[in-house]
Amino acid sequence: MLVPGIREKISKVDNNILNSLIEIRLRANKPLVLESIKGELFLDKKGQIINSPQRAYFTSERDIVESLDLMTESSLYTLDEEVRAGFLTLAGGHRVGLVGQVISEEGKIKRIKHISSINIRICQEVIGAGDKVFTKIIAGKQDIYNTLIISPPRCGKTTLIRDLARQISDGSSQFAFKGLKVGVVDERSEIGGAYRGVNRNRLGLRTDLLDRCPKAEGMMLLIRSMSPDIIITDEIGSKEDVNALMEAINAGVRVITTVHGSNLEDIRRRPSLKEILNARVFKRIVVLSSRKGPGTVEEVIKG
Amino acid sequence: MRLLGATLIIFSSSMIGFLVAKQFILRPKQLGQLQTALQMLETEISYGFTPLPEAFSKLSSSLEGPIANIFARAKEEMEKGERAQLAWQIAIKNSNQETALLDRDIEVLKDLSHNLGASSGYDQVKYLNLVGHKLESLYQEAVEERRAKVKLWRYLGVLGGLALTILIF
Repeated sequence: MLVPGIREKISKVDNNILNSLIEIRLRANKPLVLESIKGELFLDKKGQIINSPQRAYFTSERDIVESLDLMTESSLYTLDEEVRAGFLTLAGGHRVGLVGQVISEEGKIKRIKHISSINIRICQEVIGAGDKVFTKIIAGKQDIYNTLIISPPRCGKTTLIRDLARQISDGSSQFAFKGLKVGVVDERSEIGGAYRGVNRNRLGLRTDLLDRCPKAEGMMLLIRSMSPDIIITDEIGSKEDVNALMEAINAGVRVITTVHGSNLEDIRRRPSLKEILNARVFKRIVVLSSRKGPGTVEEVIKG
Repeated sequence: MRLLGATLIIFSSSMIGFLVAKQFILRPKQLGQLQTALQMLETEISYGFTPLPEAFSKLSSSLEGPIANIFARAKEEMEKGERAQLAWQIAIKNSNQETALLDRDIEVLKDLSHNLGASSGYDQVKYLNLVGHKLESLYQEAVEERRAKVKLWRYLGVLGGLALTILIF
């Protein structure tokens, strides 16, 4: 998916490091940066890892344009909607964020042209990432608790709920847990990594995926049309999201969702979330950090 | 013997005349086909959101002759993993000899490759329209030329042959 020049450099990097990559960043006329779990890496012209950004390989504008061509079969126009939203999803579930010169109309982004930076977020599908949390949130053989996952960015919350979706949906013979119908509202194509609507990541056999749908509307749609037992969605924040969440809970659907933050106090301070916390609908609150690598479970609070 | 030689000369010089005239007939025809092709491509892009390789293969099957070959070649190159812009250039270069197009026609076609595929649908359509306009004016010119030159070259071929025979014998 990358231009041959960059592909060659990256392929020379040690395999262990490649496996720990989170992001690859291409910025026009700036150094090529690989973000791994341990921090950022620069590559020189020969693909050796070096410390100083000055001597690193500088990404050219051409590199970006040509990489985009390769990612889109030279058909960027088929992805107008995606470009407007600022990201596209590749076949492997990897997400590519784009920015550049925006053409706006009436305060809304109409198009992005002259794309100057791309950020490839490598999709980390970790089967078993949810093992620890799964045991804490199941309630008997065919029910789970409403769960809120609190996590700073890049601590593995999406990886966690993806794996939870899979386990809840498939069921687990180990805990004699029967699979439930799961509905996933995936506003930014991160959970399912869907390409043309079909998820590339394993979400379980009883899972229905609503790809690129705004969360609030999506939850309502799922309840109306797919009768899920559980709704899983990522990064709630706005008032509408919270209202829709309450609506879902009142309709008897269990929910698992995530929110940005480092601890419960953080979340309590946010006006839109205060209400839902006070309503005590979340029976389990999981706090993540990256203290011992992404996905470290700091605590599980019983609500 | 003489008669045979004379017939041969007249025949071959007429053939040359007809062949040259044929180029003048083919050029507007092919330019016209190209215009149609670009209009179809525009529809594929703006309504169908069809990716280029697929659009190219549709075009090559609905057109015929050397123009269809250009699109077929471009599609082949893209399937080999080439970017659209380069694929298009290679396709034109390889098909150049088969067509009756002139250098200035080819230049316009090469223009097309500048941002082929690599922008929003809106921009693509605008750009295709621009190239379409250029082709239109070339087409008009080619039609004009056909009117003036086809008969000329045919007569020139036959009469040139006759003149040559008279001179020799």
